[in-house]
Amino acid sequence: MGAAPKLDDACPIIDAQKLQAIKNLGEPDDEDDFFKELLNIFFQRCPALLAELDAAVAAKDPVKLERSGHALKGTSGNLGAMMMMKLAEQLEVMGRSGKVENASEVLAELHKTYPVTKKELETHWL
Amino acid sequence: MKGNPSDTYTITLDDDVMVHQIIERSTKIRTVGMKDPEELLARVDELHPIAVFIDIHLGNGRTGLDILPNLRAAWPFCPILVITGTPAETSIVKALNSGADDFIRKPLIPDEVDARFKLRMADAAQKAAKEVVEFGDITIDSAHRTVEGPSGKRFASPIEVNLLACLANTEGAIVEKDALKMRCWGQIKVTDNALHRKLHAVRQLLKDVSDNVVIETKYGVGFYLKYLGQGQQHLDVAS
Repeated sequence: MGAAPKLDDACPIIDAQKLQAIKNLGEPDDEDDFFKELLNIFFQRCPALLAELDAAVAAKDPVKLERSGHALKGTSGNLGAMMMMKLAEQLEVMGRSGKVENASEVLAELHKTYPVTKKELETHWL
Repeated sequence: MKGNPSDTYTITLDDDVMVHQIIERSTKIRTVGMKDPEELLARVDELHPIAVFIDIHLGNGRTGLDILPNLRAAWPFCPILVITGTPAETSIVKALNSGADDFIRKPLIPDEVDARFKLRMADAAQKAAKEVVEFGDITIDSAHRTVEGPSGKRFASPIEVNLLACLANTEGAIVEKDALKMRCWGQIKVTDNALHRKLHAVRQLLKDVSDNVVIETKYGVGFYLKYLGQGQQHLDVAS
Protein backbone atom coordinates (compact mmCIF):
# COMPACT_ATOMS: atom_id res chain seq x y z
CA MET A 1 0.00 0.00 0.00
CA GLY A 2 1.44 3.37 -1.02
CA ALA A 3 1.23 6.56 0.96
CA ALA A 4 -2.19 8.06 1.47
CA PRO A 5 -3.06 10.68 -1.16
CA LYS A 6 -2.76 14.23 0.13
CA LEU A 7 -5.18 17.03 -0.55
CA ASP A 8 -2.81 18.69 -2.99
CA ASP A 9 -2.30 15.50 -5.05
CA ALA A 10 -3.46 15.29 -8.67
CA CYS A 11 -6.63 13.45 -7.59
CA PRO A 12 -9.46 16.00 -7.59
CA ILE A 13 -11.68 16.56 -4.57
CA ILE A 14 -14.67 16.39 -6.89
CA ASP A 15 -14.87 14.96 -10.38
CA ALA A 16 -17.08 17.67 -11.88
CA GLN A 17 -18.06 15.60 -14.91
CA LYS A 18 -19.28 12.69 -12.79
CA LEU A 19 -21.17 14.92 -10.40
CA GLN A 20 -22.74 16.92 -13.23
CA ALA A 21 -24.03 13.65 -14.75
CA ILE A 22 -25.76 12.92 -11.45
CA LYS A 23 -27.07 16.46 -11.13
CA ASN A 24 -28.49 16.24 -14.65
CA LEU A 25 -30.74 13.40 -13.51
CA GLY A 26 -32.93 15.99 -11.83
CA GLU A 27 -35.94 17.08 -13.85
CA PRO A 28 -36.09 20.79 -14.67
CA ASP A 29 -38.86 21.47 -12.20
CA ASP A 30 -37.36 19.57 -9.28
CA GLU A 31 -33.67 19.50 -10.04
CA ASP A 32 -32.71 21.30 -6.89
CA ASP A 33 -34.78 19.09 -4.61
CA PHE A 34 -33.48 15.86 -6.09
CA PHE A 35 -29.88 16.95 -5.98
CA LYS A 36 -30.20 18.54 -2.54
CA GLU A 37 -31.69 15.33 -1.26
CA LEU A 38 -28.74 13.33 -2.60
CA LEU A 39 -26.25 15.70 -0.98
CA ASN A 40 -28.17 15.55 2.28
CA ILE A 41 -27.97 11.76 2.22
CA PHE A 42 -24.24 12.10 1.65
CA PHE A 43 -23.84 14.60 4.51
CA GLN A 44 -25.75 12.29 6.85
CA ARG A 45 -24.06 9.09 5.78
CA CYS A 46 -20.42 10.25 5.78
CA PRO A 47 -20.11 11.17 9.49
CA ALA A 48 -21.75 7.87 10.43
CA LEU A 49 -19.36 5.90 8.23
CA LEU A 50 -16.35 7.87 9.47
CA ALA A 51 -17.40 7.03 13.03
CA GLU A 52 -17.60 3.36 12.06
CA LEU A 53 -14.11 3.57 10.57
CA ASP A 54 -12.80 5.25 13.75
CA ALA A 55 -14.20 2.36 15.77
CA ALA A 56 -12.78 -0.23 13.37
CA VAL A 57 -9.30 1.32 13.46
CA ALA A 58 -9.37 1.69 17.26
CA ALA A 59 -10.36 -1.97 17.58
CA LYS A 60 -7.91 -3.02 14.84
CA ASP A 61 -10.86 -4.84 13.27
CA PRO A 62 -10.06 -5.58 9.61
CA VAL A 63 -13.53 -6.92 8.79
CA LYS A 64 -15.31 -3.75 9.91
CA LEU A 65 -12.60 -1.64 8.29
CA GLU A 66 -13.25 -3.36 4.97
CA ARG A 67 -17.05 -3.08 5.22
CA SER A 68 -17.19 0.57 6.26
CA GLY A 69 -14.41 1.48 3.84
CA HIS A 70 -16.36 -0.21 1.06
CA ALA A 71 -19.57 1.63 1.96
CA LEU A 72 -17.84 5.01 2.10
CA LYS A 73 -16.06 4.31 -1.17
CA GLY A 74 -19.42 3.62 -2.84
CA THR A 75 -21.27 6.60 -1.49
CA SER A 76 -18.37 8.99 -2.24
CA GLY A 77 -17.88 7.61 -5.71
CA ASN A 78 -21.52 8.08 -6.61
CA LEU A 79 -21.13 11.82 -6.09
CA GLY A 80 -17.74 12.03 -7.75
CA ALA A 81 -15.99 12.73 -4.44
CA MET A 82 -12.81 11.21 -5.80
CA MET A 83 -10.31 11.95 -3.03
CA MET A 84 -12.64 10.53 -0.41
CA MET A 85 -13.33 7.54 -2.61
CA LYS A 86 -9.65 6.76 -3.04
CA LEU A 87 -8.91 7.07 0.68
CA ALA A 88 -11.90 4.92 1.58
CA GLU A 89 -10.77 2.35 -0.95
CA GLN A 90 -7.33 2.23 0.67
CA LEU A 91 -8.99 1.44 3.99
CA GLU A 92 -11.15 -1.20 2.36
CA VAL A 93 -8.09 -2.88 0.82
CA MET A 94 -6.20 -2.70 4.12
CA GLY A 95 -9.12 -4.36 5.85
CA ARG A 96 -9.43 -7.06 3.21
CA SER A 97 -5.72 -7.89 3.42
CA GLY A 98 -5.78 -7.77 7.24
CA LYS A 99 -3.08 -5.07 7.31
CA VAL A 100 -4.50 -2.40 9.57
CA GLU A 101 -1.20 -0.93 10.88
CA ASN A 102 -1.25 2.15 8.63
CA ALA A 103 -5.00 2.60 8.64
CA SER A 104 -4.96 5.43 11.20
CA GLU A 105 -2.82 7.58 8.89
CA VAL A 106 -5.21 7.11 5.97
CA LEU A 107 -8.21 7.65 8.22
CA ALA A 108 -6.73 10.92 9.50
CA GLU A 109 -6.40 12.06 5.90
CA LEU A 110 -10.01 11.08 5.28
CA HIS A 111 -11.13 13.13 8.28
CA LYS A 112 -9.37 16.15 6.75
CA THR A 113 -10.78 15.49 3.29
CA TYR A 114 -14.44 15.19 4.27
CA PRO A 115 -14.92 18.83 5.45
CA VAL A 116 -13.11 20.09 2.36
CA THR A 117 -15.35 17.96 0.15
CA LYS A 118 -18.47 19.08 2.01
CA LYS A 119 -17.49 22.72 1.65
CA GLU A 120 -16.82 22.27 -2.07
CA LEU A 121 -20.22 20.70 -2.57
CA GLU A 122 -22.05 23.33 -0.53
CA THR A 123 -20.20 26.25 -2.11
CA HIS A 124 -20.13 25.29 -5.77
CA TRP A 125 -22.90 22.75 -6.27
CA LEU A 126 -25.88 23.76 -4.18
CA MET B 1 -41.64 9.09 -11.55
CA LYS B 2 -43.44 10.89 -14.32
CA GLY B 3 -44.85 9.20 -17.39
CA ASN B 4 -45.00 5.68 -16.05
CA PRO B 5 -47.95 3.61 -14.93
CA SER B 6 -47.95 3.09 -11.20
CA ASP B 7 -47.82 -0.68 -11.56
CA THR B 8 -44.53 -0.61 -13.47
CA TYR B 9 -41.54 -0.58 -11.18
CA THR B 10 -38.11 -2.01 -10.57
CA ILE B 11 -36.68 -3.11 -7.23
CA THR B 12 -33.35 -1.86 -5.94
CA LEU B 13 -31.72 -3.68 -3.05
CA ASP B 14 -28.85 -1.58 -1.71
CA ASP B 15 -27.99 -0.32 1.77
CA ASP B 16 -27.28 3.14 0.32
CA VAL B 17 -30.52 5.00 -0.47
CA MET B 18 -28.58 7.27 -2.80
CA VAL B 19 -28.27 4.28 -5.13
CA HIS B 20 -32.07 3.79 -5.12
CA GLN B 21 -32.53 7.36 -6.28
CA ILE B 22 -29.81 7.30 -8.92
CA ILE B 23 -31.21 4.10 -10.42
CA GLU B 24 -34.77 5.45 -10.43
CA ARG B 25 -33.68 8.64 -12.16
CA SER B 26 -31.34 6.88 -14.60
CA THR B 27 -33.95 4.38 -15.79
CA LYS B 28 -36.90 6.80 -15.48
CA ILE B 29 -38.83 3.94 -13.90
CA ARG B 30 -40.07 4.04 -10.32
CA THR B 31 -38.01 1.81 -8.06
CA VAL B 32 -39.03 0.15 -4.83
CA GLY B 33 -35.94 0.66 -2.69
CA MET B 34 -34.98 -1.87 -0.04
CA LYS B 35 -31.98 -2.31 2.21
CA ASP B 36 -32.71 -5.69 3.71
CA PRO B 37 -32.57 -8.92 1.67
CA GLU B 38 -34.87 -10.62 4.17
CA GLU B 39 -37.56 -8.01 3.54
CA LEU B 40 -37.29 -8.63 -0.19
CA LEU B 41 -37.56 -12.39 0.28
CA ALA B 42 -40.58 -11.95 2.54
CA ARG B 43 -42.38 -9.87 -0.11
CA VAL B 44 -41.32 -11.83 -3.18
CA ASP B 45 -44.82 -13.25 -3.83
CA GLU B 46 -46.56 -9.88 -3.70
CA LEU B 47 -44.05 -7.99 -5.86
CA HIS B 48 -43.93 -8.12 -9.66
CA PRO B 49 -41.00 -5.96 -10.77
CA ILE B 50 -39.96 -5.49 -14.38
CA ALA B 51 -36.29 -5.63 -13.33
CA VAL B 52 -34.24 -5.99 -10.16
CA PHE B 53 -31.00 -4.28 -9.14
CA ILE B 54 -29.08 -5.94 -6.30
CA ASP B 55 -25.94 -4.79 -4.57
CA ILE B 56 -23.52 -7.63 -3.91
CA HIS B 57 -22.19 -6.08 -0.68
CA LEU B 58 -25.05 -4.93 1.51
CA GLY B 59 -23.15 -3.94 4.64
CA ASN B 60 -22.90 -5.80 7.95
CA GLY B 61 -21.48 -8.74 6.06
CA ARG B 62 -24.68 -9.46 4.17
CA THR B 63 -24.60 -10.19 0.48
CA GLY B 64 -27.18 -9.99 -2.26
CA LEU B 65 -25.75 -13.16 -3.80
CA ASP B 66 -27.41 -15.38 -1.21
CA ILE B 67 -30.92 -14.56 -2.34
CA LEU B 68 -30.29 -14.51 -6.10
CA PRO B 69 -31.41 -18.13 -6.68
CA ASN B 70 -34.65 -17.46 -4.78
CA LEU B 71 -35.35 -14.37 -6.85
CA ARG B 72 -34.58 -16.16 -10.09
CA ALA B 73 -36.95 -18.98 -9.14
CA ALA B 74 -39.70 -16.50 -8.25
CA TRP B 75 -39.21 -14.24 -11.28
CA PRO B 76 -37.85 -16.47 -14.06
CA PHE B 77 -38.12 -13.83 -16.81
CA CYS B 78 -37.27 -10.70 -14.84
CA PRO B 79 -33.87 -9.16 -15.62
CA ILE B 80 -31.65 -9.17 -12.54
CA LEU B 81 -28.67 -6.82 -12.54
CA VAL B 82 -26.13 -6.94 -9.76
CA ILE B 83 -24.31 -3.84 -8.59
CA THR B 84 -20.72 -4.22 -7.52
CA GLY B 85 -18.10 -1.86 -6.19
CA THR B 86 -15.53 -4.60 -5.77
CA PRO B 87 -12.95 -5.27 -8.45
CA ALA B 88 -12.98 -9.02 -7.63
CA GLU B 89 -14.21 -10.83 -10.71
CA THR B 90 -15.14 -13.88 -8.64
CA SER B 91 -18.19 -12.20 -7.14
CA ILE B 92 -19.41 -11.16 -10.60
CA VAL B 93 -18.95 -14.68 -11.92
CA LYS B 94 -20.74 -16.06 -8.87
CA ALA B 95 -23.59 -13.61 -9.39
CA LEU B 96 -23.98 -14.55 -13.05
CA ASN B 97 -23.91 -18.25 -12.12
CA SER B 98 -26.53 -17.67 -9.46
CA GLY B 99 -29.08 -16.25 -11.87
CA ALA B 100 -28.08 -12.62 -12.52
CA ASP B 101 -28.31 -11.40 -16.11
CA ASP B 102 -25.79 -8.59 -15.97
CA PHE B 103 -23.79 -6.36 -13.63
CA ILE B 104 -23.20 -2.66 -13.10
CA ARG B 105 -20.09 -1.25 -11.46
CA LYS B 106 -19.98 1.45 -8.82
CA PRO B 107 -19.58 4.39 -8.96
CA LEU B 108 -22.80 4.39 -10.92
CA ILE B 109 -22.78 6.18 -14.27
CA PRO B 110 -26.38 7.14 -15.13
CA ASP B 111 -26.05 6.55 -18.89
CA GLU B 112 -24.49 3.14 -18.29
CA VAL B 113 -27.22 2.16 -15.81
CA ASP B 114 -29.89 3.10 -18.34
CA ALA B 115 -28.13 1.37 -21.24
CA ARG B 116 -27.68 -1.89 -19.33
CA PHE B 117 -31.26 -1.74 -18.09
CA LYS B 118 -32.66 -1.22 -21.58
CA LEU B 119 -30.48 -3.96 -23.02
CA ARG B 120 -31.66 -6.47 -20.44
CA MET B 121 -35.29 -5.43 -20.86
CA ALA B 122 -34.98 -6.00 -24.61
CA ASP B 123 -33.45 -9.43 -23.97
CA ALA B 124 -36.24 -10.31 -21.58
CA ALA B 125 -38.90 -9.28 -24.09
CA GLN B 126 -37.27 -11.38 -26.78
CA LYS B 127 -37.01 -14.33 -24.41
CA ALA B 128 -40.61 -13.97 -23.30
CA ALA B 129 -41.78 -13.85 -26.91
CA LYS B 130 -40.17 -17.22 -27.46
CA GLU B 131 -41.59 -18.68 -24.32
CA VAL B 132 -44.85 -19.81 -25.80
CA VAL B 133 -44.59 -23.55 -26.19
CA GLU B 134 -47.17 -25.83 -27.72
CA PHE B 135 -47.42 -29.50 -26.91
CA GLY B 136 -50.27 -31.66 -28.14
CA ASP B 137 -53.38 -29.59 -27.64
CA ILE B 138 -52.04 -27.32 -24.90
CA THR B 139 -50.22 -24.00 -25.05
CA ILE B 140 -47.84 -22.96 -22.27
CA ASP B 141 -47.22 -19.24 -22.04
CA SER B 142 -44.31 -18.78 -19.66
CA ALA B 143 -44.31 -14.99 -19.86
CA HIS B 144 -47.93 -14.74 -18.74
CA ARG B 145 -47.80 -17.94 -16.70
CA THR B 146 -50.81 -19.54 -18.33
CA VAL B 147 -51.57 -23.02 -19.61
CA GLU B 148 -54.41 -23.34 -22.09
CA GLY B 149 -56.09 -26.34 -23.66
CA PRO B 150 -59.46 -27.47 -25.03
CA SER B 151 -60.98 -27.65 -21.54
CA GLY B 152 -59.90 -24.21 -20.40
CA LYS B 153 -57.13 -21.91 -19.27
CA ARG B 154 -55.29 -21.93 -15.95
CA PHE B 155 -52.77 -19.63 -14.34
CA ALA B 156 -49.73 -21.37 -12.91
CA SER B 157 -47.05 -20.47 -10.40
CA PRO B 158 -43.59 -19.58 -11.80
CA ILE B 159 -42.19 -22.97 -10.85
CA GLU B 160 -45.17 -24.87 -12.25
CA VAL B 161 -45.03 -23.11 -15.59
CA ASN B 162 -41.25 -23.54 -15.71
CA LEU B 163 -41.60 -27.23 -15.03
CA LEU B 164 -44.21 -27.73 -17.70
CA ALA B 165 -42.34 -25.64 -20.28
CA CYS B 166 -39.17 -27.58 -19.57
CA LEU B 167 -40.95 -30.89 -20.23
CA ALA B 168 -42.72 -29.53 -23.31
CA ASN B 169 -39.51 -28.14 -24.81
CA THR B 170 -38.03 -31.63 -25.01
CA GLU B 171 -41.03 -32.73 -27.11
CA GLY B 172 -41.68 -35.92 -25.22
CA ALA B 173 -38.11 -36.90 -24.39
CA ILE B 174 -37.30 -37.85 -20.80
CA VAL B 175 -36.02 -35.04 -18.60
CA GLU B 176 -33.85 -36.29 -15.77
CA LYS B 177 -35.01 -35.51 -12.26
CA ASP B 178 -31.97 -33.40 -11.37
CA ALA B 179 -32.13 -31.46 -14.63
CA LEU B 180 -35.75 -30.66 -13.93
CA LYS B 181 -34.88 -29.46 -10.43
CA MET B 182 -32.09 -27.26 -11.77
CA ARG B 183 -34.37 -25.73 -14.41
CA CYS B 184 -37.11 -24.96 -11.91
CA TRP B 185 -35.28 -24.06 -8.72
CA GLY B 186 -31.84 -23.05 -9.98
CA GLN B 187 -29.13 -23.71 -7.42
CA ILE B 188 -31.55 -24.10 -4.54
CA LYS B 189 -31.37 -27.64 -3.20
CA VAL B 190 -34.80 -29.26 -3.21
CA THR B 191 -35.88 -32.70 -2.08
CA ASP B 192 -37.46 -35.32 -4.29
CA ASN B 193 -40.63 -34.87 -2.24
CA ALA B 194 -40.78 -31.18 -3.15
CA LEU B 195 -40.41 -32.06 -6.82
CA HIS B 196 -43.13 -34.71 -6.58
CA ARG B 197 -45.49 -32.29 -4.83
CA LYS B 198 -44.96 -29.79 -7.62
CA LEU B 199 -45.45 -32.47 -10.28
CA HIS B 200 -48.69 -33.45 -8.58
CA ALA B 201 -49.88 -29.84 -8.76
CA VAL B 202 -48.94 -29.63 -12.45
CA ARG B 203 -50.77 -32.89 -13.19
CA GLN B 204 -53.90 -31.45 -11.57
CA LEU B 205 -53.48 -28.30 -13.62
CA LEU B 206 -53.13 -30.32 -16.83
CA LYS B 207 -56.35 -32.20 -16.07
CA ASP B 208 -58.17 -28.87 -15.92
CA VAL B 209 -57.10 -27.84 -19.40
CA SER B 210 -56.80 -31.06 -21.40
CA ASP B 211 -57.54 -34.78 -21.19
CA ASN B 212 -54.84 -35.55 -23.69
CA VAL B 213 -51.56 -34.35 -22.18
CA VAL B 214 -50.08 -36.10 -19.17
CA ILE B 215 -46.80 -36.26 -17.31
CA GLU B 216 -45.38 -39.75 -17.24
CA THR B 217 -42.76 -41.07 -14.83
CA LYS B 218 -39.84 -43.20 -15.85
CA TYR B 219 -38.88 -44.54 -12.46
CA GLY B 220 -35.30 -43.93 -11.45
CA VAL B 221 -34.71 -41.80 -14.55
CA GLY B 222 -37.02 -38.84 -14.90
CA PHE B 223 -40.21 -37.53 -16.40
CA TYR B 224 -41.68 -36.80 -19.80
CA LEU B 225 -44.74 -35.27 -21.33
CA LYS B 226 -47.03 -37.48 -23.37
CA TYR B 227 -49.75 -36.54 -25.84
CA LEU B 228 -52.45 -39.19 -25.88
CA GLY B 229 -54.12 -37.81 -28.99
CA GLN B 230 -57.59 -38.40 -30.25
CA GLY B 231 -59.23 -41.68 -29.31
CA GLN B 232 -56.54 -42.71 -26.83
CA GLN B 233 -57.25 -43.01 -23.18
CA HIS B 234 -54.80 -42.26 -20.42
CA LEU B 235 -54.65 -45.25 -18.06
CA ASP B 236 -52.62 -43.33 -15.47
CA VAL B 237 -50.05 -46.11 -15.36
CA ALA B 238 -46.45 -45.06 -15.19
CA SER B 239 -44.00 -46.59 -17.62
